[in-house]
Amino acid sequence: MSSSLPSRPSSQEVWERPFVKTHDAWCGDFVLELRLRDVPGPVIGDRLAEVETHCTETGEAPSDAFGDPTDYAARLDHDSAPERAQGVWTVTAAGAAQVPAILVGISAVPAWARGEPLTYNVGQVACLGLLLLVLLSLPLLLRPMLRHPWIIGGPLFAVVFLGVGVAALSSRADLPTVAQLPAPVVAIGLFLAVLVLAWIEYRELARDIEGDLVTSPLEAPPGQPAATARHRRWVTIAPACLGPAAYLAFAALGWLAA
Amino acid sequence: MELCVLRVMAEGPTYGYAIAAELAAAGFGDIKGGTLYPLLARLEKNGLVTVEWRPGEGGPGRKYFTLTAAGRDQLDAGLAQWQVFSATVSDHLSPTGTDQMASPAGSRTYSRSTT
Repeated sequence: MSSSLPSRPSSQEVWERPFVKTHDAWCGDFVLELRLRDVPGPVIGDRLAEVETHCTETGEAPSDAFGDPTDYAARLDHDSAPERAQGVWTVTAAGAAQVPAILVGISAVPAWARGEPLTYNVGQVACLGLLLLVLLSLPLLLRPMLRHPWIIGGPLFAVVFLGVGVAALSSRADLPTVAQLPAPVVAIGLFLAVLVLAWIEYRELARDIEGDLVTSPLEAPPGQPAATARHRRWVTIAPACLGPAAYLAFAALGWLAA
Repeated sequence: MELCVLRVMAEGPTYGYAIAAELAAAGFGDIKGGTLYPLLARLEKNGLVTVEWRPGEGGPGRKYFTLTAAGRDQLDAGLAQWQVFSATVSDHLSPTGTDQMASPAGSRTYSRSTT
């Protein structure tokens, strides 16, 4: 956008606004499409406020006045912010890289507890390769998956789940061993790797998050405060903590079960 | 449509719903938000208008659009072009000259090319 955003009577996260809550599906699709087009949060809030004020004045529903939210977002022809898009991909890549690290790392823990090396047979390596293939295809799958989470995400989840099942069965089958690794080194090394990836994720989420919140330029209704700093802190901390927490939880279960 | 919206703004700062209402009153029919706001966004992006959110009277607030100097120049240039275009088309369509003489008492016939 060439012009700077105007002075604002107040600032409030759009999700707190009654209008957005009433027209949740339309507003959610509209915001998602603009996010996918790398439009900065405050600009999205500005466009959503236009929809709200127009619908308030005309008494129309957003779908009647503006049509399909995805088509309408496409017609707005915004300038994107490539640095934000890069941030989204950094978070996605760090999150995706944690998945194989966690799976391999926690599978090393029971072997460590039994004092054995971590071994992989042909079937397990093939399943790990399938998982890596799915993760590497995320750049292509992310956009359609966000638009159609059940249609794309469902089969993808099924493939991953099937791969994990086959890998578990392969571990019991009498297949030739193709890799033998020291279990404590793998378990500790991959936990450190997960920590580093979580830190990268946290740093990217914390960077400029306040400036990228989808805030409305409209006055907050009486009794509805602006987004609190506490809420914003959780937005950055919770996703980053998820990987290390899952690793520790599954590793503890693996150790106890060994 | 862009020229008509700029013309409405020439009267002073105004907001989306008021623009749609004025165009409807002028006979343009019901202008949907999905048509009007992308146009306004384009005017904003091209620096033809500035925008300002003002607290609403009985509502949550309104986004006011004000013509910039570039917007006013665009309006003047557009009006001049439209007047030339309109005069040319009117002259061409008006029943004068040999056409009128060839057709008896207002019963002009128009042929349409099939190519």
